[in-house]
Amino acid sequence: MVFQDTIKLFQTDGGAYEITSLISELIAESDIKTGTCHLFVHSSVASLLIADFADDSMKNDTASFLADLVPSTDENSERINQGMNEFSVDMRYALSQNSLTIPVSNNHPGIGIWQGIYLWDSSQNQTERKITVTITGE
Amino acid sequence: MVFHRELKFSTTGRGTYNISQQVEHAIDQSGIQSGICQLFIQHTSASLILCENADPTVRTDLETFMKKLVPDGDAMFKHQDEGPDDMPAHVRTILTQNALSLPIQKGRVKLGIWQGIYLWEHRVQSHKRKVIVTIIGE
Repeated sequence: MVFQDTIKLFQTDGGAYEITSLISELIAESDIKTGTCHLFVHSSVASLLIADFADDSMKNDTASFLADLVPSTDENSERINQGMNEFSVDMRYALSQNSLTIPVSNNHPGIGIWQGIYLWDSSQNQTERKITVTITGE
Repeated sequence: MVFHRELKFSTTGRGTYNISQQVEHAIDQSGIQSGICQLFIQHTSASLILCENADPTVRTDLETFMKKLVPDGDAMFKHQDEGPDDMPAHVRTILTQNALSLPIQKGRVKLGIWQGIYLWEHRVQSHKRKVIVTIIGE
Protein backbone atom coordinates (compact mmCIF):
# COMPACT_ATOMS: atom_id res chain seq x y z
CA MET A 1 0.00 0.00 0.00
CA VAL A 2 1.25 3.50 -0.84
CA PHE A 3 0.05 6.79 0.67
CA GLN A 4 1.33 10.13 -0.61
CA ASP A 5 0.78 13.71 0.47
CA THR A 6 2.53 17.07 0.47
CA ILE A 7 3.48 19.28 3.39
CA LYS A 8 3.79 23.01 2.79
CA LEU A 9 5.71 25.28 5.11
CA PHE A 10 5.06 28.95 4.56
CA GLN A 11 7.70 31.65 4.61
CA THR A 12 10.56 29.86 6.28
CA ASP A 13 13.45 32.26 6.61
CA GLY A 14 16.50 30.38 7.72
CA GLY A 15 16.89 27.99 10.61
CA ALA A 16 15.31 24.76 11.76
CA TYR A 17 11.58 23.97 11.60
CA GLU A 18 10.37 20.89 13.41
CA ILE A 19 7.99 18.79 11.29
CA THR A 20 7.80 15.65 13.49
CA SER A 21 4.14 16.17 14.46
CA LEU A 22 3.13 16.86 10.83
CA ILE A 23 4.75 13.56 9.82
CA SER A 24 3.03 11.71 12.71
CA GLU A 25 -0.34 13.05 11.53
CA LEU A 26 0.24 11.87 7.95
CA ILE A 27 1.33 8.42 9.12
CA ALA A 28 -1.84 8.19 11.26
CA GLU A 29 -3.94 9.26 8.28
CA SER A 30 -2.27 6.69 6.00
CA ASP A 31 -3.47 3.76 8.18
CA ILE A 32 -0.19 2.01 7.35
CA LYS A 33 0.95 0.02 10.39
CA THR A 34 4.38 -1.15 9.29
CA GLY A 35 6.65 0.16 6.57
CA THR A 36 8.71 3.20 5.69
CA CYS A 37 8.05 6.92 5.36
CA HIS A 38 10.08 8.78 2.74
CA LEU A 39 10.42 12.57 2.85
CA PHE A 40 11.69 14.65 -0.05
CA VAL A 41 12.13 18.41 0.02
CA HIS A 42 11.56 20.32 -3.22
CA SER A 43 14.26 22.93 -2.79
CA SER A 44 17.89 23.48 -3.64
CA VAL A 45 18.65 25.35 -0.41
CA ALA A 46 16.57 23.69 2.31
CA SER A 47 17.41 20.21 3.55
CA LEU A 48 16.06 17.62 5.97
CA LEU A 49 17.72 16.38 9.08
CA ILE A 50 17.09 14.32 12.16
CA ALA A 51 18.48 15.84 15.32
CA ASP A 52 18.08 16.35 19.03
CA PHE A 53 17.24 20.04 19.37
CA ALA A 54 15.48 19.61 22.73
CA ASP A 55 17.72 22.34 24.02
CA ASP A 56 18.10 25.51 21.91
CA SER A 57 21.88 25.54 22.45
CA MET A 58 22.10 22.36 20.32
CA LYS A 59 20.37 24.08 17.43
CA ASN A 60 22.62 27.14 17.78
CA ASP A 61 25.78 25.01 18.05
CA THR A 62 24.83 23.16 14.85
CA ALA A 63 24.26 26.48 13.08
CA SER A 64 27.63 27.80 14.35
CA PHE A 65 29.40 24.67 13.17
CA LEU A 66 27.91 24.88 9.66
CA ALA A 67 28.65 28.60 9.44
CA ASP A 68 32.23 27.90 10.43
CA LEU A 69 32.60 24.92 8.06
CA VAL A 70 31.26 26.83 5.04
CA PRO A 71 31.66 30.53 5.80
CA SER A 72 29.92 33.26 3.86
CA THR A 73 32.48 35.37 2.02
CA ASP A 74 32.53 38.76 0.32
CA GLU A 75 32.89 37.00 -3.05
CA ASN A 76 29.29 35.93 -2.57
CA SER A 77 27.89 39.42 -2.91
CA GLU A 78 28.35 39.45 -6.69
CA ARG A 79 26.38 36.20 -7.05
CA ILE A 80 23.60 37.58 -4.87
CA ASN A 81 23.43 40.72 -7.02
CA GLN A 82 22.98 38.43 -10.01
CA GLY A 83 19.97 36.90 -8.24
CA MET A 84 21.78 33.68 -7.36
CA ASN A 85 22.13 31.98 -4.00
CA GLU A 86 25.10 32.75 -1.89
CA PHE A 87 27.55 29.94 -2.65
CA SER A 88 27.80 28.94 1.02
CA VAL A 89 24.06 28.15 0.92
CA ASP A 90 24.56 25.81 -2.07
CA MET A 91 27.53 24.15 -0.37
CA ARG A 92 25.71 23.59 2.95
CA TYR A 93 22.85 22.09 0.95
CA ALA A 94 25.23 19.70 -0.84
CA LEU A 95 26.63 18.58 2.52
CA SER A 96 23.19 17.77 3.90
CA GLN A 97 20.26 15.58 2.80
CA ASN A 98 17.31 16.33 0.54
CA SER A 99 15.52 13.13 1.47
CA LEU A 100 15.06 11.03 4.59
CA THR A 101 13.51 7.62 5.14
CA ILE A 102 12.21 6.69 8.58
CA PRO A 103 10.57 3.45 9.69
CA VAL A 104 6.83 3.24 10.40
CA SER A 105 6.11 1.07 13.45
CA ASN A 106 2.58 0.53 14.83
CA ASN A 107 1.26 3.41 12.71
CA HIS A 108 3.79 5.84 14.29
CA PRO A 109 7.17 7.23 13.22
CA GLY A 110 9.70 4.61 14.41
CA ILE A 111 12.18 7.20 15.62
CA GLY A 112 14.13 7.40 18.86
CA ILE A 113 12.92 9.32 21.88
CA TRP A 114 15.40 12.19 21.34
CA GLN A 115 15.03 12.35 17.58
CA GLY A 116 13.12 15.16 15.92
CA ILE A 117 12.58 15.66 12.17
CA TYR A 118 13.54 19.12 10.92
CA LEU A 119 13.54 21.17 7.78
CA TRP A 120 16.84 23.06 7.81
CA ASP A 121 16.62 26.17 5.69
CA SER A 122 19.96 27.72 4.75
CA SER A 123 18.40 30.62 2.91
CA GLN A 124 17.16 33.84 4.46
CA ASN A 125 14.64 34.40 1.64
CA GLN A 126 11.15 33.94 2.93
CA THR A 127 9.87 31.20 0.68
CA GLU A 128 7.29 28.43 0.80
CA ARG A 129 8.90 24.99 1.20
CA LYS A 130 7.24 21.83 -0.10
CA ILE A 131 7.92 18.30 1.17
CA THR A 132 6.50 15.22 -0.53
CA VAL A 133 5.78 12.42 1.93
CA THR A 134 5.48 8.85 0.59
CA ILE A 135 4.49 6.11 3.03
CA THR A 136 4.88 2.52 1.83
CA GLY A 137 3.84 -0.57 3.78
CA GLU A 138 0.87 -2.53 5.00
CA MET B 1 5.49 -8.08 2.10
CA VAL B 2 6.94 -6.08 4.99
CA PHE B 3 9.34 -7.47 7.59
CA HIS B 4 10.15 -5.29 10.60
CA ARG B 5 12.48 -5.87 13.53
CA GLU B 6 14.75 -4.16 16.00
CA LEU B 7 18.48 -4.95 16.23
CA LYS B 8 20.33 -4.12 19.46
CA PHE B 9 24.02 -3.37 19.77
CA SER B 10 26.28 -2.63 22.73
CA THR B 11 29.17 -0.37 21.82
CA THR B 12 32.34 0.00 23.84
CA GLY B 13 32.79 3.67 23.03
CA ARG B 14 33.75 5.78 20.03
CA GLY B 15 34.49 3.84 16.87
CA THR B 16 32.98 1.83 14.03
CA TYR B 17 31.27 -1.55 14.43
CA ASN B 18 30.61 -3.89 11.51
CA ILE B 19 26.92 -4.89 11.64
CA SER B 20 26.73 -6.53 8.18
CA GLN B 21 26.23 -10.04 9.62
CA GLN B 22 23.27 -9.02 11.80
CA VAL B 23 21.68 -7.29 8.78
CA GLU B 24 22.23 -10.41 6.62
CA HIS B 25 20.64 -12.50 9.36
CA ALA B 26 17.53 -10.26 9.45
CA ILE B 27 17.20 -10.57 5.65
CA ASP B 28 17.44 -14.38 5.96
CA GLN B 29 14.70 -14.35 8.60
CA SER B 30 12.45 -12.19 6.42
CA GLY B 31 12.48 -14.74 3.59
CA ILE B 32 12.31 -11.79 1.17
CA GLN B 33 14.19 -12.52 -2.07
CA SER B 34 13.95 -9.22 -3.86
CA GLY B 35 13.38 -5.74 -2.42
CA ILE B 36 14.81 -2.98 -0.25
CA CYS B 37 16.34 -3.24 3.19
CA GLN B 38 15.96 -0.03 5.15
CA LEU B 39 18.11 0.52 8.27
CA PHE B 40 17.42 3.35 10.69
CA ILE B 41 19.33 4.18 13.87
CA GLN B 42 17.19 5.65 16.66
CA HIS B 43 19.86 7.94 18.12
CA THR B 44 21.31 11.41 17.65
CA SER B 45 24.89 10.59 18.68
CA ALA B 46 25.57 7.46 16.60
CA SER B 47 25.13 6.90 12.87
CA LEU B 48 25.17 4.36 10.05
CA ILE B 49 27.69 4.31 7.22
CA LEU B 50 28.84 2.11 4.39
CA CYS B 51 32.61 1.83 4.38
CA GLU B 52 35.44 -0.23 2.94
CA ASN B 53 35.71 -3.44 4.94
CA ALA B 54 39.17 -4.68 3.95
CA ASP B 55 41.74 -2.36 5.48
CA PRO B 56 40.83 -1.27 9.04
CA THR B 57 43.09 1.79 8.77
CA VAL B 58 40.40 3.33 6.51
CA ARG B 59 38.13 3.53 9.55
CA THR B 60 40.95 4.73 11.79
CA ASP B 61 41.55 7.52 9.26
CA LEU B 62 37.84 8.40 9.20
CA GLU B 63 37.97 8.77 12.97
CA THR B 64 41.08 10.97 12.74
CA PHE B 65 39.42 13.13 10.07
CA MET B 66 36.24 13.56 12.18
CA LYS B 67 38.24 14.43 15.31
CA LYS B 68 39.90 17.22 13.36
CA LEU B 69 36.69 18.41 11.69
CA VAL B 70 34.60 18.44 14.89
CA PRO B 71 37.03 18.70 17.83
CA ASP B 72 35.87 17.55 21.27
CA GLY B 73 35.57 20.43 23.71
CA ASP B 74 35.58 23.10 20.96
CA ALA B 75 34.88 26.45 22.65
CA MET B 76 32.37 27.19 19.85
CA PHE B 77 29.96 24.65 21.41
CA LYS B 78 27.71 25.83 24.25
CA HIS B 79 25.96 22.49 24.76
CA GLN B 80 28.31 20.45 26.94
CA ASP B 81 25.88 18.94 29.47
CA GLU B 82 27.32 15.45 29.06
CA GLY B 83 30.97 16.36 28.52
CA PRO B 84 33.29 17.58 25.76
CA ASP B 85 32.16 14.84 23.30
CA ASP B 86 28.43 15.69 23.72
CA MET B 87 27.81 18.33 20.99
CA PRO B 88 30.54 16.95 18.66
CA ALA B 89 28.69 13.58 18.72
CA HIS B 90 25.48 15.33 17.56
CA VAL B 91 27.30 17.23 14.80
CA ARG B 92 29.09 14.05 13.63
CA THR B 93 25.69 12.32 13.42
CA ILE B 94 24.22 15.15 11.35
CA LEU B 95 27.22 15.02 8.99
CA THR B 96 26.81 11.27 8.43
CA GLN B 97 23.64 9.16 8.02
CA ASN B 98 20.75 8.09 10.26
CA ALA B 99 19.51 5.66 7.65
CA LEU B 100 20.66 3.42 4.81
CA SER B 101 18.63 1.79 2.01
CA LEU B 102 20.17 -1.31 0.53
CA PRO B 103 19.03 -3.50 -2.37
CA ILE B 104 18.17 -7.17 -1.78
CA GLN B 105 18.68 -9.62 -4.62
CA LYS B 106 18.23 -13.40 -4.39
CA GLY B 107 17.71 -13.15 -0.63
CA ARG B 108 21.04 -11.40 -0.01
CA VAL B 109 22.01 -7.80 0.52
CA LYS B 110 23.56 -6.67 -2.75
CA LEU B 111 26.59 -4.75 -1.52
CA GLY B 112 29.77 -4.09 -3.43
CA ILE B 113 32.54 -6.53 -2.64
CA TRP B 114 34.40 -4.02 -0.46
CA GLN B 115 31.37 -2.45 1.21
CA GLY B 116 30.58 -3.15 4.85
CA ILE B 117 27.71 -1.80 6.95
CA TYR B 118 28.96 -0.01 10.05
CA LEU B 119 27.42 1.54 13.12
CA TRP B 120 29.51 4.55 14.07
CA GLU B 121 29.46 5.31 17.79
CA HIS B 122 30.33 8.97 18.33
CA ARG B 123 30.26 9.04 22.14
CA VAL B 124 33.39 8.17 24.11
CA GLN B 125 31.46 6.08 26.65
CA SER B 126 29.86 2.72 25.81
CA HIS B 127 26.17 2.83 24.81
CA LYS B 128 23.28 0.55 23.89
CA ARG B 129 22.10 1.34 20.34
CA LYS B 130 18.95 0.33 18.47
CA VAL B 131 18.67 -0.07 14.71
CA ILE B 132 15.27 -0.66 13.09
CA VAL B 133 15.32 -2.92 10.04
CA THR B 134 12.40 -2.68 7.60
CA ILE B 135 12.48 -4.99 4.60
CA ILE B 136 9.95 -4.42 1.83
CA GLY B 137 9.75 -6.81 -1.10
CA GLU B 138 8.62 -10.26 -2.14
